[in-house]
Amino acid sequence: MSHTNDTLEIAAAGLAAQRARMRVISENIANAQSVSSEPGGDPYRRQVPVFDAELDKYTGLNLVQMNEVHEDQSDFQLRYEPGHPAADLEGYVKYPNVQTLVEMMDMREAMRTYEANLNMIDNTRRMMERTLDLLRR
Amino acid sequence: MRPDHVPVLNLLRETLGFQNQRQSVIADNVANANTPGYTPKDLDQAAFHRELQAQLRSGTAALETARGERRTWQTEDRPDTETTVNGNSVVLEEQMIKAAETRQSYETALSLYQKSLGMLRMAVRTPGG
Repeated sequence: MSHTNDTLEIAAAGLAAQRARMRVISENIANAQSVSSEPGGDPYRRQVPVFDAELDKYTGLNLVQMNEVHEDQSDFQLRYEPGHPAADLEGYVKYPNVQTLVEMMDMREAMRTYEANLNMIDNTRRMMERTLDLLRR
Repeated sequence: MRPDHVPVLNLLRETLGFQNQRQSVIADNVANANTPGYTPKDLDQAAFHRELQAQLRSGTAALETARGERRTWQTEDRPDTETTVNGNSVVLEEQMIKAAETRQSYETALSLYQKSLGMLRMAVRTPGG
């Protein structure tokens, strides 16, 4: 019985991790055009979620977790917009290093993994139900 | 006489335990489908089948281990067919297939268990009663 509960625990951690990832992705997309408020300043930097296995002290399981969010160190996009309030002396504005297409891809992947975790829960639940059926007859 | 003294029921219970643990291992793989450097794990099915065969032949070997604490099987690294650039080798489709396979084996064992219990019940019923 305990393995069954482990399975649910693990899959639930997977769901939580993917949900946290979705949050970071939506933050990136929402800030895809966020520039600095002062001339020549740095805009929003893309956030990259990193997953890690974390030992759960209570159950002794290695549960997946989104333990840290790194900053994407790639270059900002420069656009020539002299009239923009955030433009530097040469008239260039730094835009975030967020590529919406990449974020969309990430989002699909997160969705797919979320669904896979849900699938595992469903599978396990059905196994449990079938086992409980033994009591009925 | 307890149910675990019947060899068939005992074997089936071992199978249920094994498939249950395998499901748990697969859930771990699926949850870590995006963890960098993660290699999926699996249980050694061949070893399990060998053990079952041995128990079938001896008939009593399982009784000591089956009683008492929960039986756990060794996990081993079993990478899927593709590895991504961040060193993760989980392929969700393959894990899903494994999960379905595990559930099927579990349910088969469960049905057989049910049938065996039914036969026992039939045997203890008084004739004509």
